[in-house]
Amino acid sequence: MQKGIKDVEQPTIVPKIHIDAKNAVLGRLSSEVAKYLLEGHAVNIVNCEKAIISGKKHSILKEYREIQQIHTATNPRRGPFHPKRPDRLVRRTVRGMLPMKKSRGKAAHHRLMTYIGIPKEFVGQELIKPKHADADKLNCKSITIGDLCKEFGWQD
Amino acid sequence: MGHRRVSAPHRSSLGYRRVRARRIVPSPRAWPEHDGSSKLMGFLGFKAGMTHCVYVVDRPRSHLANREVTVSVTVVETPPMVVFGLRGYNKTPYGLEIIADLRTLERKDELERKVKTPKNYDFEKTKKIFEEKLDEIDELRAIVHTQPHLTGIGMKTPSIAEIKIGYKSISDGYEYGLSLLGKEVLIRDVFKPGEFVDSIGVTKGKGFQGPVKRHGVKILQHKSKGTKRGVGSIGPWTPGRTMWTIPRYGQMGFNVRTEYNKRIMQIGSDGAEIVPKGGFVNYGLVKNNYVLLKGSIPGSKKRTVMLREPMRKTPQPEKEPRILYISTESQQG
Repeated sequence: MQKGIKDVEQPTIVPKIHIDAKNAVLGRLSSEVAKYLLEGHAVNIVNCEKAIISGKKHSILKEYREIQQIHTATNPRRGPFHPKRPDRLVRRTVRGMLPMKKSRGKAAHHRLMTYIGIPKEFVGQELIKPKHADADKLNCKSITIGDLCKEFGWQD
Repeated sequence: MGHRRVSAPHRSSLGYRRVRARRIVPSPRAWPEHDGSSKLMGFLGFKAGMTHCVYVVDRPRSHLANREVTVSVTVVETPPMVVFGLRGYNKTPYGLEIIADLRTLERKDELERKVKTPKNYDFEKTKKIFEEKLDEIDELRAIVHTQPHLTGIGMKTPSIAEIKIGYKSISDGYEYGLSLLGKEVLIRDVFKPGEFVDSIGVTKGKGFQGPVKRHGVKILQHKSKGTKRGVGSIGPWTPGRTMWTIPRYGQMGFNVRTEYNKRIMQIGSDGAEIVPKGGFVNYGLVKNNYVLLKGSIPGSKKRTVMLREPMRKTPQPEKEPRILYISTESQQG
């Protein structure tokens, strides 16, 4: 072995994962994605606007409106920022499940990308359905992220 | 402190960002929808100055209907614009994306000051590529430049802007755009007298100003401690930072501002009809086509302003107003 070069363990190659968020419950989807990210995968989520939050529309809206009131008192432009676009909202939700104060979490967040609809580069590729996030199992009312974001001014 | 009350309305609007414009030639943030025959949706002109005219009010419901009224008008000189390119945009969830671009090589010499003519540019080949992508195009825009050398303002370098082409079907719009390439467009091809337009321009720059001039706070009494032309209190002890709502010093003016529904009173070609004796102060004579807009528009004289199809849907007046008199009295002394 050459002097000065450390015997670094090569990171195991982990595949990229493309996840279809259609008809998936947002929180369950996000926790699953967060786990994938921390295992070292790079994750792309498509169809973000079709993910679902369970509950009555008015109560979900009320909750998100309350979140949006949190801002710097002296200058709201300094944040914290609350995304109003479906892909950013999903990315932010996953961020809340990552250890962002550690470099491990930041790197994991960096490996995540979210998209509205299915972009050209993912057409024909294998899309994975999240395992435990199927909204068909719900026995309650629900709204899609797209509908939620439209209430906050997002235009399709 | 005789002025001060317990509560008072906020000084100046918080709805605007008071930052300098990035470019002096405005580019509209949005274009209205259009579903008629193909046409350009805007025009660039140069603000010449103001005068006044007498016209017969043609709003039937107005209490001044059919009466003669004196109104102030702004003169905008509009020498012909030249179209030298086309651009196709595709609408994505994240905004518009350029997918096709076509430039003509038949150019005016003046444009060389602003943009160099590309070498080894194959027009026919690029045109073919453009036509292949026609189906994907959601918005078509013409790249135009002004001809300031035709006016008397001393500016030589043309300004460049993108102007949306309104069309019924994309093939119509593309053919219309091709027919314009390398050619001059007149103001009469775009707007008719009597219509409403939006004026978009950069306001007069006032530099770094204090809160009295910038926000209109009250001047304090002369015995005030520390400051007279400042804000009496800029906030509480805690939180120990200044609130974003406090009227403070900073840049004033030179902002992009849009004013909606300015009525075109007249479109003319003979500047002598409207230029005051001795010419417009700080501008001179009007040598080209001109537009008379009712009321004022933002910006200094000589500044490039964009006239755009009205964004807010208001019923367009059917006829052009009957103007009885336009003042050409000298504006000096």
